[in-house]
Amino acid sequence: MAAAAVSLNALTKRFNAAPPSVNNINLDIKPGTLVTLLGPSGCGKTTTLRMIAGLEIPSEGRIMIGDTDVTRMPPERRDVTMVFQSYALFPHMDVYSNVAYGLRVARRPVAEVKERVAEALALVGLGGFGDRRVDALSGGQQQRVALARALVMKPKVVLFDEPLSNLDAKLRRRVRGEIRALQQRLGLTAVYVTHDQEEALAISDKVVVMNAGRIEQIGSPHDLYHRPASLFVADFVGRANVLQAQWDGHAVQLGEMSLPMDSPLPAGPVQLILRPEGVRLARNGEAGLSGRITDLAFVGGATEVSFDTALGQVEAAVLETEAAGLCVGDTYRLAFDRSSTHILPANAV
Amino acid sequence: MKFKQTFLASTIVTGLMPFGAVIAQDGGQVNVVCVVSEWCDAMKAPFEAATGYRMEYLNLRSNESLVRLRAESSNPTFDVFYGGTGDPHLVGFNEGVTEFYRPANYEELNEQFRNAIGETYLPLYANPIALVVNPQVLEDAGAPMPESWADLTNPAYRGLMGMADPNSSGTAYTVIATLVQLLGEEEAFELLAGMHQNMAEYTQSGSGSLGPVGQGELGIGVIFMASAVRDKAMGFPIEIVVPSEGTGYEIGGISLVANGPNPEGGKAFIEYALSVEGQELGNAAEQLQIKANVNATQAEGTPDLSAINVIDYDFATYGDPELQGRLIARWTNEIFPVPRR
Amino acid sequence: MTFITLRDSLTAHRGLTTPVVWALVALALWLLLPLGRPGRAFFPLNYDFHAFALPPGFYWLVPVAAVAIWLLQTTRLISMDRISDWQAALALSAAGGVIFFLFGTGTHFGWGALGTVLALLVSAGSALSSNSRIRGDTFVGASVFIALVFVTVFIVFPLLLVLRTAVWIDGTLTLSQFARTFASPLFLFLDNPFTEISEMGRVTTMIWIGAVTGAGLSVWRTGRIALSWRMIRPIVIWTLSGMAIGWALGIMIWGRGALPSSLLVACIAAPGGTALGFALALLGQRTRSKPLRGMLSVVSVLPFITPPFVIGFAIIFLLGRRGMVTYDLLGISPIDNPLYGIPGVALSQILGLAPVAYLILRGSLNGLNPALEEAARTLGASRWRVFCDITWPLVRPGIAASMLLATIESISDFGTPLVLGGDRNFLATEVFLALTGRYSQPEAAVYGTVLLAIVALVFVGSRVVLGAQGFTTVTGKPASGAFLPLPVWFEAILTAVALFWFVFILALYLTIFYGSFVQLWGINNTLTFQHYREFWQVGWPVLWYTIKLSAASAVPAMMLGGLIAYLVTRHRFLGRSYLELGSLLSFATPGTVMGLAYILAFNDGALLMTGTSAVIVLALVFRNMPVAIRASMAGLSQIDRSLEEASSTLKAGSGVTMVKVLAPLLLYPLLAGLIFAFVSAMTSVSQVIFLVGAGNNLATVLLLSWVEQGRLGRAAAMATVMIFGLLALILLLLVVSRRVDVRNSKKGMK
Repeated sequence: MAAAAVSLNALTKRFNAAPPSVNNINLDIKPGTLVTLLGPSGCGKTTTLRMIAGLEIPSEGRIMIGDTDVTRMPPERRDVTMVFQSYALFPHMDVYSNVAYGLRVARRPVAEVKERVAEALALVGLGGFGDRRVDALSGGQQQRVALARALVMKPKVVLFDEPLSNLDAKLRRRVRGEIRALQQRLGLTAVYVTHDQEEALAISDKVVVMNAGRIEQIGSPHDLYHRPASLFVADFVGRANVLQAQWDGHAVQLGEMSLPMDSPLPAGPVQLILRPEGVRLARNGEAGLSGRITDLAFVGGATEVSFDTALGQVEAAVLETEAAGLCVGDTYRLAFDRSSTHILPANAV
Repeated sequence: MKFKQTFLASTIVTGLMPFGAVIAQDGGQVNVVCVVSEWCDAMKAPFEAATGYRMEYLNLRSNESLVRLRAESSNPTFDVFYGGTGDPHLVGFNEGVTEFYRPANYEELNEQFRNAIGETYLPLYANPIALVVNPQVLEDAGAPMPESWADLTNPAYRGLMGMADPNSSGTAYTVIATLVQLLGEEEAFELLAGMHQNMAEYTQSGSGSLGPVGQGELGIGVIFMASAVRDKAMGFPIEIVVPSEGTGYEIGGISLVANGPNPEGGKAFIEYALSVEGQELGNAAEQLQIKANVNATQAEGTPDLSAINVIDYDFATYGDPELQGRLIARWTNEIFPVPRR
Repeated sequence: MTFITLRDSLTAHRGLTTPVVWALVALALWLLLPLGRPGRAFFPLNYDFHAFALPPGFYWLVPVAAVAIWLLQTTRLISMDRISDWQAALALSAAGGVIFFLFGTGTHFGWGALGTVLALLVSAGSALSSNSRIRGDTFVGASVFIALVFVTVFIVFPLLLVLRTAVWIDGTLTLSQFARTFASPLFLFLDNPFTEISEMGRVTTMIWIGAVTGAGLSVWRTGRIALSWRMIRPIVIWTLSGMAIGWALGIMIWGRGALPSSLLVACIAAPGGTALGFALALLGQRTRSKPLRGMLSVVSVLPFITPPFVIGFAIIFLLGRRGMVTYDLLGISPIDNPLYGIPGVALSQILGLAPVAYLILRGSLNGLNPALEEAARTLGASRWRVFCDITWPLVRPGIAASMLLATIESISDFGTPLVLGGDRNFLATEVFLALTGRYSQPEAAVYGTVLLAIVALVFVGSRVVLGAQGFTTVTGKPASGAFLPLPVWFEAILTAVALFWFVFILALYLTIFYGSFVQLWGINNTLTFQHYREFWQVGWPVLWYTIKLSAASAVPAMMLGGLIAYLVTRHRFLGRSYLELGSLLSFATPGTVMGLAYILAFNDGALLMTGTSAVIVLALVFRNMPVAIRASMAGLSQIDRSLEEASSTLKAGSGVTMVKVLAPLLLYPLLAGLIFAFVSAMTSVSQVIFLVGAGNNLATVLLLSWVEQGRLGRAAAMATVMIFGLLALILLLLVVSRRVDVRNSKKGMK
C-alpha cells in the first residue's frame, strides 16, 4: 500500500478550557482521494483542517504529509493549500495577482507564473478574467478564483473549508460537481470540511463523521448511509427513524413483525434504524406495523408522511403515485425494505 | 524569502535611524548655554567670523541652565555658560560644574563687579532691579506713581502688581535678598507681606510681569531693569522707577564649563564675549544691561549705575544656597499663603 | 532563487540555520565594530572601545556564544527542540552579558554593542520560533524580542528610574523626599494659619460626610445589613471610597497647592470638555444643517495642530485683564478679572479637550445601530424619549472613555498652566519647576511619581466603573439606516452652544493671525511684516529642524506602532501584555514626567544619548507610537484573519504577508497614524523641553520662550505658520481618508 498522503496520529487540540475541541483523531488519507470531514458546527472538523494546514498547532499527536512530519511546521513550509469559507481573496489585488500570489512569493520565473495562472484560471472556467477586480465578481466566480489560487500551487493536498456555504442552493450543487470533477481529473488529494451531509455524500471517496471532537465513523458514503456505526451518524447522515426492537440473531422482532437480516450483534434488545424512503405502505396480506397518519407534507417528487405507531413516531417518504388518497387520521400498516434497515446495540448513542 | 530578510533588515534599520541623525561634534564647535538669547543671535556670525569656531547655543533660563550643566557634569556637552543672573554661576563654581577662567582683558572689566563676586565667575553685565510701571493703568485706578519700596504697600495698588515666584525664579529671590539687605529680615518680610496684598499674581518667569504691564494687564511689575528699558524703547507705554531707598542688582555672568568638550573654543568664546566688540554686540541686540567691559560703549538708554542708588549687594552671603533656601521657604510659608483682603 | 538555493544547501551542509546565521552576524559585528564610544558622538568609530580593548576576559563572550550556537546545530548532540531552546538561551545570555557589561562599567554603548545585541535578539527569536515556543517564524520571533527590548529601554526603564530617583537619595533608600514634598505648601497647603476658617477641620468634615454617604449608599444598594464578610466588604470599600472622595473634594475647595489645583482643573475640564464634545458630536451626526456639519468637521481639527499654550495666550487677549471682550466690551475691572488661575486653565483645557471628546464620541455615536432608535420610535417613544432611553445609555461607555482620556490630558497639560496658571501651581509644571527652578531631581521625581500614581488611579478607577469592557472602540462600523433627528428645542440649544464655541474659537485664531501682523499687540496696531521677517531669520531654521526631526520620528513611530499592533492582535506570546502595558504607559504618562525620565535614563552611562538629536527623535517616537498602534489596531480589526491564513498557506512567511497583504490594506490607517504622529511631534512641548540641546532647539520650545519674553508678535507669526502648515496636512489626510472610506465600502470590507 502506498504511504498515506496525509496521516493524523492521535491528534488532539485543546483550547483554553476542557474538553478538547479535537480529541485523539487518527486518520489516513490515501493519495488521490477526496475525504470529507462532516459534522455539526463545533465538532472540531474545521480545527482539524486548520491543523493540517498549519494554522493551528496541535496540543498532542502528529501530522504527516507524505513522509514528512509537519506537526510543528509553519503553514508556509507545508505542501498544502486551502480554499477558505470566506474565500479570503486579497481585496487589493486583481484576479490574476490573487492567483499568482503564491507563485510570486516562491519567486517562480515570470513566464512560468503567467502560464500556470492562465492554466489554473482556464481550469476553473475563468480564462480571461485575470484583470478583473475580485470585488467585481459574483460569489461563484470568487469561489473559483479561490480554487484556482489553491490549485495553481500544485500542492500535495488541497484543503477545503466549507467552500460552498456562501453560495445559493443551485450554484452549490453545480460547483460541488465541478470541484469533484477537477479533483478526479487532476488526481488531487483533498480534505473537505462541510456540515452539509448531502454535499459530503455527493463528492467524497470517504467521509469522516465527527462529533464533539471525536471521529464517529469513517467510511464510504454508501457505508455511512446504510451501515451507520452510531445513532449519531444515522441521524446526521440522512434522515432516520429509530425504533426499539428485539434481535434474536437472525431477525428483528418488531411488534408482530419479523425482519430477517444479517448482523454480528449478539441477541438482545437493539435499536432499529429505518430510512424514511424504506418505509412503505404494506401490501395486502403483508405483515406490517400499524400507524395513523398525523401529518402530510408534499415536498416535490415525494410526500413526507408522519405515522403514529405503537413503537413511536415513524417518518416515511412515499412516492407521489402511492400517496394519492392519503389523509390525516387514516390508519395504515407499514412495511420496511430490508436494504434500508440497520440495527445498533440498544445502548448505542 | 528575500522579502522576509529585507523587511526584517528594514525594521532594524528604522530602529537605528535616529542614531544616524546624531550631530557629529568636532573640535571646531563651541556649545553655549545661553540665557540672553538675542545677544547670542547677534554674537553668532561675528564670533564665527572672528575666530573660525562654529557656535551652537541653546536658550535656557538661568536656573535651568545650571540644572542642565549639573545634570551633565560627568559628561558635559556645553563649553560656556553665557549670561543670566549670578547665583547659578556662583553655585556652579562652588560645585565644580564651572571653573574660573581669567581672560586676557580681565583688568578691563568693571572693578566694582569683579570685587563683588571675586574669582568665581566673570562679570558680563550688571542689571539693577527696578519697578516697571504702566502709568495709564495707575491713572485709571486713581493710584499715584510709586517712588519707593514702601509705596508698594499702598492699598491703591490692590490687584495691580506682579512679581515672580521665588520658588521658580532667581529674579524674585534677588528682590527678597535686596529688601533683606536694605531693611533687615523682619522689616523686609513685613514689606513683602504688604506687597503681597497688592499682588495680582506671582509669575513663574522672572520677567513674567513685564509683558502684562506693557499690555496694560498690570500696573506695576518688579523686574530687572534692562528688559524694561528695551520694551519701553520698542514702544510699550511703560515707565521705569528705581525705588528711592535703593535697589539691588545682579551681575550677569559668563563661565567656562568644567571639562567641556572644547575648552579651547570655550575660552576663545569668553575672550570674545568680554572684548569691547563682543560687549557692544549686545547693544545692537537691544541688550541694555550695563556692560562689564569699561571700554565698551554703553547703549543708549542703558541705566547708569552711578545715577542709581544701588546697594552694596553681598553676593557671597546671599548667593549661599542655604540662606537662599531659608529665605525662600520663609516667604513660601509666611507670605504666599496669606489670603488677600 | 540563487540566494535561496545557496542558503538551503548551506543550511543542509553546515547547519547554517537562521538562528546560527544571525549569531554569526552578531559575531561579525562584535569583531568589526567598536563596542562603545568615548563621548556623545557616534562617529567617528573609536577602536579604543573595541571589545578586545576593554577589560580582559570580556571579549570572548559573544564569540563563545556564537560558536556554541553553531556547534549545537552541527553536532546535534541533543534533540532538535532542545537545540533551539539552548540556542535561544545562549543568544539571550550573550545579549544580556553585553548589556550587563555596559551598565556595570558605565561604557557608553556604541555601534558594536547595538548591532550585536540586536543580532543576538533576532537569533534568539528565530530559535524560539523554529520550535514553536513563539508561534510564528523568524520575523515574528525577532520582532517580539526587539519590541520587548525597545519598550523596556525607552518606556519602562526610564519610568522606573523616576521612581528610583524619588526614593534613592544620596545612596540610601528613603522616603524623606516624599515626606518633604507632601509637607510642602507648594504641593498641598491645607491648614492656612492666616485664614479665619480651619481648612483642615472642614476637610475632615468632608471626609466624614464622604464616609457616611459611602456606607449609606452601599447599604441602600444591597438593601439589608448582615454580619457576614460578603456584606461587610462592600460596605468597607464604599466607606473608604467615600472618605477618599470627600477628602479630594475638601482639598479641592479649601486647599491650595499643586495637587488640589491639578485635581480641580481636571474635575472641571474633563466633564466640561466631554460635555462640549458630546454636544458637538450629536450635532455633527444629526443636524440637518449642512454648513454646521462642515464647520464641525473642520474646526474640530484645529486644536490638534495648535500647541496648547498658543490657545492660552490668545485667550489672554480676548479675556485677560485688558482683554478685548472682558475689558473693552464688558468693562470688567482688571482687578476683578478671574481669568488667571483655575478658571483660565480650565477654560483653555475645555476648548482643547472638546475636539478630542468629539472624535471619541462621534465614533461611539456612529457605532450605534439606527434600527434601535427606529424601533423605539415605532413603539411610540418621542424623539426625546428615544434620546433618553436608547441613545444616551448606549453611548455612555464612550462618554466614560472620553472622560478618562480628558482627565489624563488635563492632569498632564504643561503649557496652559505655564501661561494662564497665575499664581496657582500645578503638578505637571511643578515637575518642571522643581527641576529647573529649585535644582532638585528627587523633588521632580516625587512630583512625577505622584502624577503617575494619579493617572494609574484614574485608569484603575475607570476599569472598575466600566467593568472589563475598558475602552469602547472608537471606530464603530457604520450601520445602515438614518439616525433620528434631535428634538427641535434640543437641537436649537446644541446649535447655540456650537455656534458660541465656533465664534470663540474663530476669534482666538483670528487674534493670533492678526497679532502676527501688528507692530505691538494691543498697543500699536500698525500693520507690519516685521514679525515674519524676524521669524524667517530666527524661527524658521528651528522650525525646519523641528519638521525634519518630527518626520524622522513619525516613520519609526508608525512602523513600530504597526508592528506592535500586529504582534499584539495577531499573535500570542509571553510578554504580550507587557507590550500592551508599555504602550499604555507611554500614552498615559504625562509628558514632563517622560521628559524627566529620559533625562535620568539617557544622560550618562551605558545609554548616554542626551544632547544628541537621537534622544529627541526617540522620545518623540515612543511618545507618539501609541497613536500609530491604535490606528493600526483599528485597521487590523477590519481585516479578516483568513486573508493572512490564505497568504501563509500560499507559502508566504509572516514578513511577506505583512508587506504584501496587510500593509497595502492598512495603507490608509497607517498613513493616518503617520500624519498624526508627525503632527503631535510638531506640537509637543512637555516631553522635549528637557531634551533640547545646543543647535537642536525645537519650534514649540522656542515659541514658549518667545511668549515668556513677551515677543508675542514673533510668536504669533510662528504659530500662524505652524497652524496653516499643519492644517493643510490634516485636510490632505481628511480628503485621502474620505476617498478610502468610499473605496473600502465598495470593497465590502467588514
